[in-house]
Amino acid sequence: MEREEIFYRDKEKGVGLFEVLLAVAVFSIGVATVANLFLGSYTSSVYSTEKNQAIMLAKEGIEAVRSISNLGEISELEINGCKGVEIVVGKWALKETVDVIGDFTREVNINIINEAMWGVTSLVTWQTMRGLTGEVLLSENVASWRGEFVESGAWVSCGDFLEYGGRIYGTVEINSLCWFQENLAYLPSVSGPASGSTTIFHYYVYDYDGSSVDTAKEKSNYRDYGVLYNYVAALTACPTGWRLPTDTELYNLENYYVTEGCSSSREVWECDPAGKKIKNYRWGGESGNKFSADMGGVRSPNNYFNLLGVSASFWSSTDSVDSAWVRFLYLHEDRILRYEYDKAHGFSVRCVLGE
Amino acid sequence: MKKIKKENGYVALFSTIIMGAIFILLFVGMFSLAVGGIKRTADKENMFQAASLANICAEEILSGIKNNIYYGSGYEFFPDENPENFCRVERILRYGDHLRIFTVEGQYGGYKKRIEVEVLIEEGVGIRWLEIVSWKESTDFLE
Repeated sequence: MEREEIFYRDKEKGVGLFEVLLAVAVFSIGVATVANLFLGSYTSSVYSTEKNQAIMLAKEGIEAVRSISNLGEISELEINGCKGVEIVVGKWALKETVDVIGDFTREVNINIINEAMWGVTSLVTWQTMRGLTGEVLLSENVASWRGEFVESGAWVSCGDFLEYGGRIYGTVEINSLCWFQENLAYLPSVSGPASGSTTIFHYYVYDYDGSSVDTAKEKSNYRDYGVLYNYVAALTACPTGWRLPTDTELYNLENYYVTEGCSSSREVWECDPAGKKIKNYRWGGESGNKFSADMGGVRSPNNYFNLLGVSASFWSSTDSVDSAWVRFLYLHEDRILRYEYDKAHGFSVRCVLGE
Repeated sequence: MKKIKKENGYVALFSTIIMGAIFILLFVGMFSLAVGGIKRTADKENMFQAASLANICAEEILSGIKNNIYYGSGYEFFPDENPENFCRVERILRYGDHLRIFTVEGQYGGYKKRIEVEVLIEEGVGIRWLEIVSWKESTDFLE
């Protein structure tokens, strides 16, 4: 009986020691892991704080140069020698040495991009807790648009505005062709809806039934939707160097936006979703700064205006004897109709670049 | 007497398991905090980079209008080889000869910054100058 107790006691002691050693080992690993993680987390937290400071300092460097530029003093700067910025008598000024702000070093550089534009970089560096070098680099351009100038400007390339007949038109390149961004509003004379012809020039302003060009130009429909032209008027209405697009060019425009099914010789509604793509936002379309078609309505050969705010129609230069090919957009339609219409219709015009 | 001695080992083992679970919870919590902090800082840097890009485009447009009051180019700028970091002109609206409202957008690391600028082309005798009427910056947002 006594020997049995001793046997059990010895056995239990051995098992207990193993468990305790295991527990101590696991505990030590756990403590070491958490300690390491805590240190890592703390280091990361410090790094995040430092980087936030560095970002703000880099931004300050850029804004300092912008402030100097706003005062019109940038052209007087010794740009190549610039390394930093400082406040002198309440104003930012450039200096030839880098900025040291606490643990951070900031270097501001200005390089000339062209005669009217400077590139500004602001680089902030610091030593991290891990002994590495942290850095934040911000770059911006500062242009010399401040101050007076004499240049009045002219159309240079597609994308620029173009002045024609006292009105300014946006231009945009779509599928390698430069287009007017709005309906043509060239108005040398004006006709009422009852006047129509396939051979005599007629210019219409929607809902205007008079003959005064000045009065017609005061109408909101003229301002918003431009002029409706019969075919012969449309052919010669564009400014020098611009012209009416061909049927093929209108097809290339619509086909540019098509995912499937668009025939160049169709006489039906097709080319989904090109109609939506080229309509202005306010007509449920997706074109803000591209073609931006507006629903300017039509002048019918039956001597009335129709479909304002509902449809847009554009002449092509491609014709047969009494009719010409037209593109027709509709308010709630994502496709486009290609159809041959009588030349006495009054439709909108979009000019394209080219003789 | 025998039973009590046997349970000593289990108490130590259970204690270890419980402490291990606490360590794991601490590990996960601190790891999340560290990663979250780093991500927030990276996001902030991306926002500033997006704003800088938007400023680059805005300055380009202002410079373009100064050189040519009919300027309306669809300018785009890519600061590096990543095609998702860029600034571009969304639109330039003109109201007569004197007022332009343009919108530019900078995008960097998935963050966007949009700036809308209203600029007046003032005219004196034989000279012109630009006056910024308003400069509106949108909230930073993820794409």
